[in-house]
Amino acid sequence: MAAEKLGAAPAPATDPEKTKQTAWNRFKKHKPSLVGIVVIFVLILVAVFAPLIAPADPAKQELFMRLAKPGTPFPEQWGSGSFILGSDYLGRDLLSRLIYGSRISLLVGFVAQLVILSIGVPLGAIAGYYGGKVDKVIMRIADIMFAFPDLLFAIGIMFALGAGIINLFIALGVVGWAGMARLVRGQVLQLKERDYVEAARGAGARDWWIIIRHILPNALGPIIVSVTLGIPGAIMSEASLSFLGLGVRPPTATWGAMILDGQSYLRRAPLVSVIPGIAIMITVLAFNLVGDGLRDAFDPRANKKA
Amino acid sequence: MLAYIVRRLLAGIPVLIGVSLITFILMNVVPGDPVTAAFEKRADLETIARIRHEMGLDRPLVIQYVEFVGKAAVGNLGNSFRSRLPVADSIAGALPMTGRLAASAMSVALLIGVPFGVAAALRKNSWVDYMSAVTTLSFISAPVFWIAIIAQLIFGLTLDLFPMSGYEGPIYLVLPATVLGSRYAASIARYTRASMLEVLNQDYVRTARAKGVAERLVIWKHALKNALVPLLTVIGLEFGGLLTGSILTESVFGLPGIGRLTIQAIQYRDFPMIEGTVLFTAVVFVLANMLVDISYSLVDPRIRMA
Repeated sequence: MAAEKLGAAPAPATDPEKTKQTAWNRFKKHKPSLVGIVVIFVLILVAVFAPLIAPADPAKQELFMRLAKPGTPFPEQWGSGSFILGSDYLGRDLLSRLIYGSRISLLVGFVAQLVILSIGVPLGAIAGYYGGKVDKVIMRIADIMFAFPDLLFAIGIMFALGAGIINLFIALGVVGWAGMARLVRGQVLQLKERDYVEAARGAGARDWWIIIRHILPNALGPIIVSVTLGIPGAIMSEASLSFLGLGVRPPTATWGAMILDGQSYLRRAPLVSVIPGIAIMITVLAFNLVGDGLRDAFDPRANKKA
Repeated sequence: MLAYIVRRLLAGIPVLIGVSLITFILMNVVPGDPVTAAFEKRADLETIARIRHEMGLDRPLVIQYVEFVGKAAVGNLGNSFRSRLPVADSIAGALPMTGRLAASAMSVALLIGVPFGVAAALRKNSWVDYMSAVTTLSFISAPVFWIAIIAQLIFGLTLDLFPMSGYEGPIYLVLPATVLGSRYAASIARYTRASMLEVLNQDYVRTARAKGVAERLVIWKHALKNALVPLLTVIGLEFGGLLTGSILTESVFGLPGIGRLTIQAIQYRDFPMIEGTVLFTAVVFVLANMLVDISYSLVDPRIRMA
């Protein structure tokens, strides 16, 4: 108890290790985040072991079993088991598609953030560190990116490139990098005036070394928060694009496309649309909870405001 | 004041140029040749060449772009591949629908979001606060097109209270506006709560209370008035989401607005129509953000200094 109180004392924690620890302590107390972490962990397990868990092949059709009610036994040639959640309009097993759908959602969530990181961090760091013309050019381009509503921009790109998962990564990266660049630029602007950066420069360190070794590690908190909150955004974008027929190509099972598939059969088989939406909601919620917890942990001042 | 407005408007010009350039590149450069892409299966090479020539697509891209911007500036967005009618006319025809949807959704959002946010702030950490937090987070985490389908399922199919799709009168707007609005009500409730909590700690609120102003007046007159200022930004930020949300909502409910126009154009690979609707939506978004900035500076004079 006493140690905790000392840790929260107004003395500024300049040692990054110490900041990390107190951030972790704050994060641990944020119970909804821990629930979020458990949910994400389970989702990752489901995605990785999908072939072992799924009762059937998610693409296998059985047209005699279209829109089967939950609990209907599988056709004989599929072996034992049943359509636990029913089947869709092509007689595919809903549960199996739901399980495989988690792969696309998580993959898109993570890879889109990787693309955003690999474009946004260098550009933001360069803009912030060097300033001047480079900064102006990069930030003007970023402004233009912000001028498009996200989904509309993604729709335009996906239309131009055509549906497909690689194109989806490109589209979400192009749409999202500007936000990351802005964030990193702001951090670098603040941090480059710090004494230890001056010291490193005085000692003859090169610019890229200073950026990578001295500046970025101290900007890690906000970047991690932004990535965590960006994952659900990407998952939602993928779902929306797939729902509009502009995401991953069918017959790949994705939650957004499953909702689209079920839309025409709401009366006969409402579950086909309802269930994948619940999956999206739980996944997005889990990441949002973790992101909120991380934000509060890294920036206690923001916590007071909220 | 006027100087600020002029400066803000001028700053928008490069952004608008960038927006038009990106739209042009997406529709004309990335996919190769739009005419070939659209008519490949329906026309022979000679016809394609003739259409290309008529549309001026055999000229250098720079000239095409300049002409595209020049024409767009006077409201000429070319003719639809599909209906052969001017794109601008179709947009003008669809605009009132989207306007009605956006306006009614925003009203729903404010009518639900602000009272919930205030209630949550006044009873911080009570069950009202927690329930409102859980509800808002769930709504933020669910895809709007899925909420739309659930609403159709419950209020259209099962209870038969409201029409499920199409537009023949205001009653057709009830479900779409509530669905789209509830999504933003969630964001607005969150921000209102945060903003309200901050304001309630301010000196002038304490002064008002100290001098014996009735609690009801303190909250609704002194606190809420000031708490609503940051909400302007939220409305501006969420406006893009509202625009793209209306694309998804319109497509689920079959409302003949700009969003459905865009989606139909995508299905038919109607390039001029997509180019027109994407450009139009992006320009509206830019202008809306400008308007928010300017109105913000009217409400809060400190902004102008920055």
